[in-house]
Amino acid sequence: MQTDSARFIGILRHRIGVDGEGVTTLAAFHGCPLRCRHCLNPQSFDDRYTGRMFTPESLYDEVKIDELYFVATNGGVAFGGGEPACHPGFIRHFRELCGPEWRITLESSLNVPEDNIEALIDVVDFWIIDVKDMNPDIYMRYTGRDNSLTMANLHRLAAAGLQDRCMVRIPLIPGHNTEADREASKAALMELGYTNFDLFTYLIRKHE
Amino acid sequence: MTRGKQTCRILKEIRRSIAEANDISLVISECSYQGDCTGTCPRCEAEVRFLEHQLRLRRLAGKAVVLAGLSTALAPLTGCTPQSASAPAIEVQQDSIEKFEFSRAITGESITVEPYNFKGVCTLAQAEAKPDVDSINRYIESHLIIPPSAVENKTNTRIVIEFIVDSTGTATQKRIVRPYSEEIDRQVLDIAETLPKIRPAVVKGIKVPCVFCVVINIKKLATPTDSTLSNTTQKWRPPMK
Repeated sequence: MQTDSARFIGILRHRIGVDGEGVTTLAAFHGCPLRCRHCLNPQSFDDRYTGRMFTPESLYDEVKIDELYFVATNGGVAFGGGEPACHPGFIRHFRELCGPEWRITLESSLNVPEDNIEALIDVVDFWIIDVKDMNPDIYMRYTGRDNSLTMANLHRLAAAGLQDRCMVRIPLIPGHNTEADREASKAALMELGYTNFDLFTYLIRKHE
Repeated sequence: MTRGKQTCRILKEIRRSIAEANDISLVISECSYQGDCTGTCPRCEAEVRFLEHQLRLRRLAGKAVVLAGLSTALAPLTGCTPQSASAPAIEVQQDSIEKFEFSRAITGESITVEPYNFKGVCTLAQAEAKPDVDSINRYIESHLIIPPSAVENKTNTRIVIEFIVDSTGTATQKRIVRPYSEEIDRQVLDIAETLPKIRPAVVKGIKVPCVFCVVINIKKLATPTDSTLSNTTQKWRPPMK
């Protein structure tokens, strides 16, 4: 599995309470298989965006400046983007460098090959999963892609008994889904054993 | 308060917790920078490097380093983030009191205490203006008498007493959370009963009750005439109010 350098759209330090527990640094990958209508980071799939290149070693050197806060607060590094699950080898190598004390959080849509998730199961401490909507038609309309991989990976994490290490984000997306759709998504996820949800509403920027 | 300033304040409290938990003398200066900031600056970064260096020295000296378990210093402060702006500012979870306060005082040990209902009581970390804990420390230190017989054959070296100081500055609830001996525990509680009023804690401009622990380190030094130990003929009497 490739662990060469990867392009990042940003490294954000001293995040508190937004990536799970503790003080975290967000490392946002460039690249995403989805094309969400209201993506918060559209530069993540813009090939004109240069960003910064990191190897696992150089990223570790960059973020270890906050190791004291990570260990003291049960924080660590949150990988987002973009789609971090497109880089499982990078993240596995990073885990070898940072050791077990750092908490690694993955903020992902899970719309990646199942092998990618399989490779990350034993190195990720906490999963923040943005499912958009569990209805396949709504999902396709919003992201431009079908959600079969997302569903398969949700089942995979459930089969591994990791539901308590997951927070599933179910957005209310104006113009795409309704409160009833969101409740239906939540019910479907609860049937898989997921119990930790973040129900929120997308804020649509005026120019979109 | 801007987000950067808020982040700075939280990180400052974390550094303070780390220093206190590891007996590191860290003078944390108040930030006078005006305007937006990212939550850190060269001075803040220098404090982190200093703490890291001191912790390395402690490890090399074979001393225990307390880092894990300080995370609850964040628990009462994350209520200030926009995502949960409706949460009460000074409602405190009972377990965060135990972990936060006792991780400062206890190294590598666990104790079980029956928690109080701390609703409406803030911690030192939550207080924007802290109560005058130093005056309590000085008062106890000046009145506590420890006979040499009290430290013989003792393996523990500290007593921890928990206070709640109400909005009038009166220490209303006092309890020993880490005992030393029946004799010394009784003396500390008796001294605490005579505490004068102190400056109370302030949260959002309002004087509020505050809970905190005072750690009393009891050292047995080599020279029998050391001033930290009293003559066995002395008996503690309650000070005149």
